[in-house]
Amino acid sequence: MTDILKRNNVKIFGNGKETILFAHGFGGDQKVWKYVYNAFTENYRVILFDYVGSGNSDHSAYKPELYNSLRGFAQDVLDICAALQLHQVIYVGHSVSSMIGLLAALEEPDYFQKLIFLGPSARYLNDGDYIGGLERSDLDGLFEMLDNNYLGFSQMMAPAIMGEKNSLEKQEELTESFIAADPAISQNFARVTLLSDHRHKLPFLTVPSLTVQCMDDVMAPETAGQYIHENTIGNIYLELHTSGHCPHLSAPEKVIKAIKDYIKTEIFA
Amino acid sequence: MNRLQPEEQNLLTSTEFLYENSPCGHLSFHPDGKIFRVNKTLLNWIGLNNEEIIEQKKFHDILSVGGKLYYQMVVLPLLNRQGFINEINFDIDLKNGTAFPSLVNAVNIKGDDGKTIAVHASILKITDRKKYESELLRSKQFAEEERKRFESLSNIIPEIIWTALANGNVNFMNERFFEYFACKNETPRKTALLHLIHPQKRKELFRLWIESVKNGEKFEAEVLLKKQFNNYEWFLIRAIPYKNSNDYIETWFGSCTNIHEHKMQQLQAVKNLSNSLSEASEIISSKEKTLEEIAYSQSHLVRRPLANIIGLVEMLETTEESSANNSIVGMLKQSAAELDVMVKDIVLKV
Repeated sequence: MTDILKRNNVKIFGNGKETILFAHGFGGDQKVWKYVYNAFTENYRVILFDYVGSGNSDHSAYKPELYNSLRGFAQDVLDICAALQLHQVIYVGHSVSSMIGLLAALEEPDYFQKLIFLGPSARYLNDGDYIGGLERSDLDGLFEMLDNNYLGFSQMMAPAIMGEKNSLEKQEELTESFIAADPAISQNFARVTLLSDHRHKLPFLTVPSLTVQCMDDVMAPETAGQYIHENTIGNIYLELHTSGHCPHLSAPEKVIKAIKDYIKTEIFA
Repeated sequence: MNRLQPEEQNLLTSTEFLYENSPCGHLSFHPDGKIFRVNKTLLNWIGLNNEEIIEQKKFHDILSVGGKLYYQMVVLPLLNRQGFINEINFDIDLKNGTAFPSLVNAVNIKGDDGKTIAVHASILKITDRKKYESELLRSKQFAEEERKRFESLSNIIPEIIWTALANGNVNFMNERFFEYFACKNETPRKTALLHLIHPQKRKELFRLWIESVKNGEKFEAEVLLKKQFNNYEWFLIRAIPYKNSNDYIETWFGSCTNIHEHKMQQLQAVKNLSNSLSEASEIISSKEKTLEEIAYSQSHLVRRPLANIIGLVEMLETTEESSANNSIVGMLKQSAAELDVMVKDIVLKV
């Protein structure tokens, strides 16, 4: 159990009968929840974690063959639930973690009480009538950006490698940028995420869910959120009046309210 | 040369003037990305005026499509987490449809409650620099591809192949090595490798290798290496230095061939030869002994009938009586026959 908790850098806060599990999206780690999770620690047990290969997880546990589909990331979620013997948790997944939560809930529905999708997309690429928002050429542009910043990131890593010792805090910060800069893992996560298509899985979800849609989200346009709402049984659609792909960072109080409201919502199966 | 008057200097270095005309772009935006201030330099670069951009566009609106995604997925979370971003390469879209490469630094400005109230970004145009960087990136990718190509090639051949750095540290072994010695496929560690070498040979081999590395000379050695179940087998280890165009040793290419069977045959042949030699020497010394025996023991026996014969012949010369002669001849015959038996016996023994 400790292995999994260490592997995924699992942090547990607060206490309450019910548990909320926050799952970060691509490019981030559990720190992206820093403006949000505190609002729940009084009444809930709050669990934060980093996917293997992100943040302060055990990067040596990252095996490309395991994480070459979102199923691998879903296994991280299932492992954490099993290790902590979680049952009926409220799962909040940002971006790609929405579909990771879906995959986990398809396999072990009893682990989950409700799923909250923050800026979800079942498929990022346009496909016929379906508007995922992105064209293949856009993705190539993104992959190029990741490539272009490879060198830049290597430079950011330099002071950490050279062992600059200022303060502990500074060290930690450097280590963080070092970790965030694992370019091969970032590339893989981006490819796996953006080329995935989980539309066919939506109708099989038996756990109630909420889609939180932001305005002007380049990663997940309203059409993508609408598609999930229309094709998932028991899905509630909520439009958040904030723009961008990271409402938990740009408008945390709105996200907190959305989560609280949905938790209170009675679900009639 | 006309120097600027102090008033003029003050004007040129006033905060306002510097902000608007500094040789890099300045941009400030709200936490939601909406731009509320931008300097002249950046406006000129982009080809927009203040009205078109202030409170109209968001920071990511001026980025290329790939940049928008990258900003949302990677940079924004990073900016929020650590409060700054440094040297992020974005392509900035221009009004005319083209773009210029830039390096962006940004810092979060926080309010009293610790929440971000604004973001200041500075943008440096790196059109020329970018060309070098692209070249560098391409070379890096090419080198990486070459390395992968070498590794996959070396993994399909049935031989054990390894490489070492110029300083002699082994940095690569093909899969065959890990299969063969049943060890974990990880970056080869010096201690782990030394462990494979027979303890009695370790020091010597290490010394030879260091000498080769120092002198840049071809390395060749036959060593006993540990295989599974602690069995040692003979291997021929070879390495040749690869020199780059500056004539510096860049890397060592090495092979490791199992010569156990051959070596064992060789050792067996030497052993066989030594056995037959000692056998031959034994035979020779036993013959010598026989001859000595013959010479020693038989000389008396041969001497006796011969002495008889000599005596009898003397008697024949001095005796005239034929009857006596007859008996002497009889005895002569007997002695000659005895001598004949002796000689035959010697011949047989030899």
